[in-house]
Order: sequence, then structure tokens, then C-alpha cells
Amino acid sequence: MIVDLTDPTRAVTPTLDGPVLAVLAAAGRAMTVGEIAAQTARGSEIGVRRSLGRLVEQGIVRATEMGRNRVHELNRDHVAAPIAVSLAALRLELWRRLREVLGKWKVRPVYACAFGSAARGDGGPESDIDVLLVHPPFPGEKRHGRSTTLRHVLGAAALDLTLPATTQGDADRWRRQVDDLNPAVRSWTGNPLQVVDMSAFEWAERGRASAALLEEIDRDAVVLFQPATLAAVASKVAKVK
Amino acid sequence: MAAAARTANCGRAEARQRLRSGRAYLEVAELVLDERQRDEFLSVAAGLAVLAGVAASDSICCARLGRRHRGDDHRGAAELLAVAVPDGKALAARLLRLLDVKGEAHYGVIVVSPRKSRDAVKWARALIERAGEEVER
Repeated sequence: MIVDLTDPTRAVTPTLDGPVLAVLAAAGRAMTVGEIAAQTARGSEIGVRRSLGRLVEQGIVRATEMGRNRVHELNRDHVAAPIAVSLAALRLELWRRLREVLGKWKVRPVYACAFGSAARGDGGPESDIDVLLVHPPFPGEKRHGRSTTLRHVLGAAALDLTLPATTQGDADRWRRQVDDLNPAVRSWTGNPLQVVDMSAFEWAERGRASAALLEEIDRDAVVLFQPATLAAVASKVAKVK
Repeated sequence: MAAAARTANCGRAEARQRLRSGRAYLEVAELVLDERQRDEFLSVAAGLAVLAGVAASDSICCARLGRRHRGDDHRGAAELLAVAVPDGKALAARLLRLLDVKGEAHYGVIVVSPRKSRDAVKWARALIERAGEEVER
């Protein structure tokens, strides 16, 4: 069983009722059939119309005439309405669980995010869940390049101020944490987890090898673990003074 | 409908882009807010918070409505935001409060008060967090 992250409702119901209810639950206004069909992850306008007919009959969707248009909205008083709201938040639940697990790791990431099709919500049912995990520098890991831009110089300085000292034991524990994440994500979703595990140095320096990948990651990133912000760094500098 | 005439089509990619911009404005606003060396920084923090709030509103509208407000009158953006999500009215009220700070922060000769500046950053943070939910949904 694999979750289609474009339409996670498919894991619960194969009919169009799932995505239609999810769209209506997330909406703040009554919508026409065309508007709903444009937002549902699958199905034709005819299919959406049929689904709405069923859902109106069940009372969970209200239909009203607005001028020449028939518009639909979720009946939030219906006993099943909370289920529709949950259907609209299945991907958010995945991010919440990942954040919770990463927040409990003994060896914390410096930064973590989901990226790629899972983060964009446009992959297929077979898509991997891509996650970037940036680990603190472990013994033996060194800086590679020389930072040239102000942003990267500041980034490197921020890392020096904020990174914890690590041991070989931390490196081993990190590896085990990453290993344990794989079966957890597969159990939550059915999808394989694809981890990009990168040292903080490589992440901050953005050398030639990783710059293009990191740019792509930044574009779609769903942040799962926040880096120390510049504000936090600034307050550390103030304390050092 | 007047609002429809002042909107531009946009999608999830734009929603992500506007959210990234909004987060950048907010991050700098929070940084500047803590900087007490000059009173003017309070106005700068508030001004950046307004920009973050408008970006968050655009992001939510792009993600949920497939269109965003276009033009300088950001009050139209609040009208659109109000119908974009179930809690849109509350979010729109927050955006309007932020927009009230805009004139003072961007063009005013009086420095924005510390309390108002802090509130503006707080409202912007709430809007950005809500936009994050809609983009990541």
C-alpha cells in the first residue's frame, strides 16, 4: 500500500468523494463544480458533479443557487465534517510526524526539509519521499571550499558559532537515527524514504557538486527542522562580547 | 465583480515563491526588532512585517483560489483572503490591522511605537505560519 502524495485521500477512498471533500474542507467559500474540479487532484468535471450529487444527498455538502450558478460548500455542522477536514490535512500530518521525530533526535540535524515531488504534492503513487538531512560536522569532516559570497561567509560564521562539538559516538548515533527513519516513514505512508544526508560544511559552503541540488531543494522545501536563525546567531554574538 | 477585475492568476509554484519571500521579510523583521540602537529600526521592523503579511496573503490566495490580488490597494487583498480559507475572515482582519501600520511605517514622520512594532511582527508571523500550512497541505 503506497500513499499517493498528490492525493493522499486515495489511501482512504478510491472514489472522487475523498478529493472533493478535501477541496471543500480547505475552501473558505462556496464553489462551482468547475472550481472544485480545477482543484481536485484527480477526476473529470463530470465525475466531480456526480460525486457532489451523492454528497449533497448525504447532507455533508450544501448546494445553493447563486445567480445562474449552483455552488457547493462543506456542511461543517455535519457529524462527518471533521473527517473531511482530516482528509484535507493528510500531507500536513506527515510533515507533523517528521518534525516530531526529528525534534526528538539525540543528535539533532542542523537543518532538515522535505523536497521534490512529495514536497510539491505533484508526484505519483510510486514517488519517493525526499528528505534533506544536514548533520553537524562529525570528527574528521572538514571544510572543502572557500566561501566567496557574503551570504556564505556569514553562513559559515553562523555555523561556527552554533554547531555543537560532536564525537564519533554521535556520528554512529546519527547513522542509526537515519536508518530508523526509513521504516517509520514507510509505515506511515507506504512510500520509500530517500535521504540526502549532508554535512553542515557542505550545506553551508554550497560547493560546485551540491549547489544545483541545494537550489532545487530550496525552491520546494517543506522545512522540517529550522536552522539557527540569524537572530539567534546575533544574540550569541552579543553574549560573546 | 470588482475584486475579480483586480486579480492575477497564479498557482502553487507562485504560492511557494511568495511564502519564501514572506519568510525572508519576517526573518529580517524579527532580527531588526531586537536591534535597539536606533528608534527608526522599529519602523523598519513594522514595514517589513507588513510586506511579510501581504506576501503570506498572496501565498494563501494562490494556493487556494488560484489567483491573487493585483495593485497597490492591499485592502483588496484582504477581501480576497477572507474567502480563500475557512478562517479567512480572521486572517483578513489580521492583515487589515497590519495594513493600518503600513502608512506609519513606510511614510510616517513618527516612529512606530515598540508595542505596535512587536504586534505587527506577531501578526505577520501568524499569517506566514498559516500560509505555510496551505502551501504544505
